[in-house]
Amino acid sequence: MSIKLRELIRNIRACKTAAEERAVIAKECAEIRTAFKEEDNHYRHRNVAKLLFIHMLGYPTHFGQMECLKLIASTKFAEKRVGYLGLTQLLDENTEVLMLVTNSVKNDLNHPNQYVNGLALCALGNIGNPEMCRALAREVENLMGVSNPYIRKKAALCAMRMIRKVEEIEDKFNHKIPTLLEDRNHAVLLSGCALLITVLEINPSALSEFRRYVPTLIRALKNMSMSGYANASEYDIAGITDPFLQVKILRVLKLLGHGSVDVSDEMNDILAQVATNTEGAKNAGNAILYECVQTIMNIEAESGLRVLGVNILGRFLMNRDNNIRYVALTTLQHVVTVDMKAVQRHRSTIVDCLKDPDVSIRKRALDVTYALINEENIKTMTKELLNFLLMAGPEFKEDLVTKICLAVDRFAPNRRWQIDTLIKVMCLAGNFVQTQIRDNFIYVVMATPELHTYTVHKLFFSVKENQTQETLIQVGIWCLGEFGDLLVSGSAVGPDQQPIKVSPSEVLDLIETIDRRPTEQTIGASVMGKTAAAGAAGSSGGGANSAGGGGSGVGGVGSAVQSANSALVTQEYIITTLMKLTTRFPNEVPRIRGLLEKYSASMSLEIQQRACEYEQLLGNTWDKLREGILDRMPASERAKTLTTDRPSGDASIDEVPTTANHHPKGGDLLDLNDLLDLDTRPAPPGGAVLNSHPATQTSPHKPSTGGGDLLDLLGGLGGELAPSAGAPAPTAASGLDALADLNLGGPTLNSHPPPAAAAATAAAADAARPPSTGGDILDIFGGTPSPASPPTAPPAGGKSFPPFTAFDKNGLQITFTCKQDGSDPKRSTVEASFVNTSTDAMSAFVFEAAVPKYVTLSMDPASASVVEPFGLTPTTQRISLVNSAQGEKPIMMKIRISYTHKDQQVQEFGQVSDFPKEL
Amino acid sequence: MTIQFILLISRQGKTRLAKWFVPQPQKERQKTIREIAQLVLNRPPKLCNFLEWRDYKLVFKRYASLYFVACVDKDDNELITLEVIHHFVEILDRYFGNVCELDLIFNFHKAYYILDELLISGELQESSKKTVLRVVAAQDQMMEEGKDAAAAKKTTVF
Repeated sequence: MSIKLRELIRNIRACKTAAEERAVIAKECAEIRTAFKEEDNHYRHRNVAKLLFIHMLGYPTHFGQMECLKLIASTKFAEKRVGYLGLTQLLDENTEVLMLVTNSVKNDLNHPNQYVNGLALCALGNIGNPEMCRALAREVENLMGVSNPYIRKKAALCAMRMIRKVEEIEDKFNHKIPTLLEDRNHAVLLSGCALLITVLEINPSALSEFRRYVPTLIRALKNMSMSGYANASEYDIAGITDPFLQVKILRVLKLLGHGSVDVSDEMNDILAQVATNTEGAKNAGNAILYECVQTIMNIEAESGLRVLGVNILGRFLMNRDNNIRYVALTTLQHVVTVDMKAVQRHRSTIVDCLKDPDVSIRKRALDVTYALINEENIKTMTKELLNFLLMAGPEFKEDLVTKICLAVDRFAPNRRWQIDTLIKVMCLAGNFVQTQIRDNFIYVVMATPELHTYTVHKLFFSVKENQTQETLIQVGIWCLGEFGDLLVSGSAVGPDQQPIKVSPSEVLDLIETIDRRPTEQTIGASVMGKTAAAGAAGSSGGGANSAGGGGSGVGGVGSAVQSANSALVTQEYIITTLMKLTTRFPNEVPRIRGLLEKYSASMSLEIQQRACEYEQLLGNTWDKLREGILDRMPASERAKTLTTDRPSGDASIDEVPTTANHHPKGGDLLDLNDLLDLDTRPAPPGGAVLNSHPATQTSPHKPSTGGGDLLDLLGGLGGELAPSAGAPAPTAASGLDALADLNLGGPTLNSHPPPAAAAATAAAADAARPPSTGGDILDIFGGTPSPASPPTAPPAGGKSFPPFTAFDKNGLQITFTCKQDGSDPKRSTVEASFVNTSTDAMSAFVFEAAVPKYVTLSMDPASASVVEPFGLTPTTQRISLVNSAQGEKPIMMKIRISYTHKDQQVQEFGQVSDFPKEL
Repeated sequence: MTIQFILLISRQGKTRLAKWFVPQPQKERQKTIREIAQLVLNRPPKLCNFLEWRDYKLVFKRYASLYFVACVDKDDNELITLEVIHHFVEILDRYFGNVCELDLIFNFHKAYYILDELLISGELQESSKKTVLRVVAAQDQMMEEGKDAAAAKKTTVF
């Protein structure tokens, strides 16, 4: 005997354990199945109702699907109602048996009872699949025109679903929309607006057709906002008439007004009226204000109305209700792109929201704050953000760090400040820095030779102070390896005019300390490591004279066996740095050898292999080549594509321990006050300056390859050669090396970074080349800072044009830098640079271009098939063009870009017509 | 401005109502509900009623022992969604007369019937509480009439 629904619910609720509940349900399901099998018509709808409850608890109920269909076909309303509920709950549009219900639904749509029609429309509107939509579109269309508003509203929403599912029937309902918009019944008008919004979203070309209903909608809105409205009491919510309908109409107006000044003008008054008259004390009123602001910001509103909109958001920001502040920030993020200035006025309030205890609000506030950063406020904003970085919780830090670093990369006024700030970020939250940002920092350092000495000093003392931040340690170690010679050369002068002395052994001490940091390690692993290391030391013939160093290294070998991946990465950095230091600290080779040796027993395959290779490299056979192999890394192509036009800033060291003595608290370098005091004090005038180049600071923006690199070259020469006067040979060599990597306008040097030896010769030749550029270089040699920038004349071999944006959409920005061939003006090359400012990489990136017949085109392969996120490293591609109609017709180009972003295929088209006329 | 789904979750994490306007297999639904229950129940009070979740936003509000959760598109009006939730709650309240969780457990199907008169395909269809209550009552009446006929045969169905 079947139990009642109420009884079943009670039984289930009485269960004390999950197992008990399962048993009760299994028993009930078995009984229901039997009843279904026996075609028990009397209790069918009760059984389906029970299944609905069981379904809600998460148990399988598919065997009830067919029963729903039978109930719907019943003539009794009670059975139909349960049947339709079962249909919408137990099935969805992808369930195959759904097709079988089409005919019953059709009958019910034509039923004389309005509630039966209503059930059918509701089911169709909730789970109708494309086939059903096609089959029943005509019935729905008819129902949209009946006199009963209960049916009209449901039919309109049903139509909305149909055009979402089956786009080709979209215009079938268009002719019905105007009458819906004229309807005096709120529900019908509401549904009509929803339908219209969907039509406009699917088919924007319908915009012009519906713009003429703007006055109708304005009238409806005006009526509601007037006091004494006839239906006010029925639709009243907190003293406001039908906020649902008001919001919906505002949304339609937003779509209709977008892109048309005339239509936007038409709605100007009503929007102003809604914005000023709506009471913002309750949520319902604020919902309308919020929607109204969005409409104002999306249409072509006049400036007065915009100000009104931004002021509402300003008021929202001050609101004590978290919800209101949240939506204010969400909207501001959008407004920033439209009207940056208006938002800047609320900057301090926005920045304050970063402190909010609510993570949703903090996230929004961070996004808006980030969007507000520009060249002018980068210093103060970064200071504020660093302040928050100190307080932020760990889950928030990574996002914050990423945003700070991106902003610094984009807007840093000079390289010195950029490097300083990034180091500070790493000191504060180095464990939250993503690898891409770390790598980017290294590229920046590489590309700024005049700050090498400064950077290595700063990092050395920073790491000495603070060994808790992994990224800081990694970049510190890297710099020690690359520029260790600069650190110990004694050429750097501290703020007190005393040379800063760091001895090679101090550097090695630091590396050793890092290596031996207490880390999670099992004793077993440590013991294993020891045995292995001992074995390795015994078997290697060359290990004899390094026994002392080796001994000290054994203790730390366990740290190679770590669970934390970043610690392993640090080890990888250490081992390479140690190797590099063998040429930079020739006297310390035995000690380094000892330190290196233990790694040949590392548990990490990568480290072990590297260690063994390095051990080989230390053998006599490599004596001649070793120096070349371990030479400083040339500034890569990637480094050059960084903002090469940025002045390097002051390279003086103004915050180093008074005397570089050995006690650990030697410097106040990482003093917290100092951390936040970002380069706000001026550099000591004329004092303690290693090398500063007014030339580089005042030079005009000249981003063409030749010009930009020339600036670097000047910097490079000054920075490297000044200390080299009294320094050992390697410095001079690397100075030349740095010089070789920079481009004097000679394309060969640029495209193929030559090996060090060849480079030196080439560079020497270049440097010797007289007048135009050589003269300036000699000036620098002579030490007289040249007041104005030299590279205003185009470099020999062609004319360069300033870069321009060829394409900018969805976070992908493409910049073209054109260069005309010197000998043949018809020929030109275009350097296309792809920058991805989104937070996910664009992979499988393909850029294609087509040109008119009078132009021929050839393309080199792109530098990578991936465009890295955060706008860090642009991918580049070189395009060669020959314009046979040069001087008569300009170059035009159609482009097609396809890539995969967030696992989605994206394809974009564009047309580029901003090419310089001369090409 | 479309609601993707509406959930009623008790403080113990039990589902009291789940209405989906986007197709999702049953397994996924259970997973989603569990995930959202976690998020919503663990959120400290007094913070804002919105959570960013996948590509959507969750708008939720607690009424006594029940959490009402609506999942909407990113660019939807969160404040009006809260108002939709409140609209639903008020109608339930008037229908049951001071509604409590037990009413919704034993009469879950009635809660669904009301919701079906309120939303279609995730869009609000009726902004008048009076109208919703009237049409629901009329349909209840039609069911009762059928039941009376059945009662004549000496059987009760619910």
